[in-house]
Amino acid sequence: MGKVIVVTSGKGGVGKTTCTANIGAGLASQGHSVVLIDTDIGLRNLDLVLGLENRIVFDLVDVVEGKCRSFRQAMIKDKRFENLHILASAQSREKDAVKPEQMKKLCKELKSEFDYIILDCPAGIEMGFKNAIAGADEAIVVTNPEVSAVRDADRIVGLLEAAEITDIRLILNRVKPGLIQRGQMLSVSDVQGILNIELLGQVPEDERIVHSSNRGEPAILDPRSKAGMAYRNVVARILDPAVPMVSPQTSIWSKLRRVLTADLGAQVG
Amino acid sequence: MATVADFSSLVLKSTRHGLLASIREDADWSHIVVELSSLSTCGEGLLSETSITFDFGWREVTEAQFDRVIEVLHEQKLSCNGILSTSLNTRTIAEERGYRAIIGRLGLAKHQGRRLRREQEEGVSLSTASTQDASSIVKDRQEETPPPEPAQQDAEVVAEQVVESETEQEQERESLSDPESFEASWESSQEVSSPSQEGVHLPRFQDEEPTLYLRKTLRGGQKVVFAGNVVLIGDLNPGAQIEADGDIIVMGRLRGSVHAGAEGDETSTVITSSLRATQLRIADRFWEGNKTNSMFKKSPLTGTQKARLDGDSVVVEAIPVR
Repeated sequence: MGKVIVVTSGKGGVGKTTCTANIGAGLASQGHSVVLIDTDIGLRNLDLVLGLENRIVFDLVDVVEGKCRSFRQAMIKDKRFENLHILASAQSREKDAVKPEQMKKLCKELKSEFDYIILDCPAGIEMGFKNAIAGADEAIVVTNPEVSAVRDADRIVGLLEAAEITDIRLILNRVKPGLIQRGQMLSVSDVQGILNIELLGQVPEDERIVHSSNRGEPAILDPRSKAGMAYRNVVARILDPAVPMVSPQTSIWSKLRRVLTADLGAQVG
Repeated sequence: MATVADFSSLVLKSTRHGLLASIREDADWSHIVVELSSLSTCGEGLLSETSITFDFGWREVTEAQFDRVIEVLHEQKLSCNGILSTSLNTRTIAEERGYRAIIGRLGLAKHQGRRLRREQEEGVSLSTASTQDASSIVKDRQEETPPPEPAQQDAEVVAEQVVESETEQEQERESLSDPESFEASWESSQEVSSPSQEGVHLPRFQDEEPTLYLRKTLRGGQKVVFAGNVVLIGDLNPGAQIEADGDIIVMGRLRGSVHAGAEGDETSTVITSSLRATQLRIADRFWEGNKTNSMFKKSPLTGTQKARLDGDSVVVEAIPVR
């Protein structure tokens, strides 16, 4: 019996699709059967960041409307990962093309075939969001340590709780440790002071992500990507919550500065 | 909530959960039956095949009277959704007949009813003159003015009333915090209208006011609107709102927006153990002391704070803890 996880955020551009792609790839590389579903109807991009768009024939709307025989016909298998499949969204339709009951039914069917069903939720709180959470058992809320992102995430958590999804975890994405140290960015405790949900992982801001998206290769495969490393940690924590969380490393200079000032303090004091 | 019809013995309101008929406790029973018979003519005859909740308040309704009400409703193809009553007998009668009964009294047509009860207790009999006065006053909502006489009487007998009205208030609080009670639901944009008339300040008797007691954290996007005081044990996250006609007390971090005295009562206060509101309003004034973004900058105000209206501006003072 599989788990249906919805990756949502409220605010757009915080990294839901990146998280979905990387977490899916990571779980698949650990031997679990995974299907990723892009529920952002009309603005599809999950297949793009995974580099699979040239093989998409049928999409999610075709599946719920019955235009193809079954979801198996619409799903694309990723050539790099044995167990990773993706169900892309429709580019030329709109959010009302799918109803929550249809999503519920689809998720139920997929649960018997896959270990993890991960839904990439669109931004906002309207129909797209309602569709994405309809069949979900758990939720991962992605947010940035930035005031408007956290406000929106708070609203989302409230809506998830109202929809009786109780297993809600947080990924803090695009973290800039230097700014946090200087008090210019919300820290984890600031964010948790508002959201107060279990923290799954922190992913640092990483220029290599742009690189990954351009090439259609998830960052988890990129050895030079710090974000990729963080995603690997997130996947490990999903599989075993006892695994400790890796915090984004500050730059070597600030570490040095800390060491030097500490020494000076010791001398003076 | 919107008033659908304002009769002399009952007020019909439409709420989020359906229609509510508030029956005046001092009205003559035969009068009530007559007006109930014309319910289907309200709302331009659109009122049919609907179910109405009845608020009898503290009126004791006999079995015969209750059955008559149901009969009258049936004749108009209406039905009873449930009743609100502070009288155990009335509730028992309703439940025996299979209707939901909630302890409580919204008393949206209440002002003269309260005076009647006091009169009854003091052994003063109901005079037709007083009911006539009452009905002439409860005419058009916009033209309503509070009769100054009952208010004075209120003040004189408030001491004797304290015990009785506390129980009443407790009962109201019970019904209002009962998750089944339709007026207690605080899901976003739930609205409860205030019994006070617009623009007129009635003297407030804190011990007689309903208070909503919540023990949870309100997240962004959630809104509580209440005709009375609101006590929140928990945080008010940024983006969450509380709008109360009375006082607001938040034992937790007040980081959202609050509006006390929403109907214009300038004696309302806001008390909180941690003041970091994004917006604080009392009556029609704004608090000017919070120009910074409450989520990020640390508030210089520590400890329990009380905000009140002093003249034209909102002042915030720390409440010393001994």
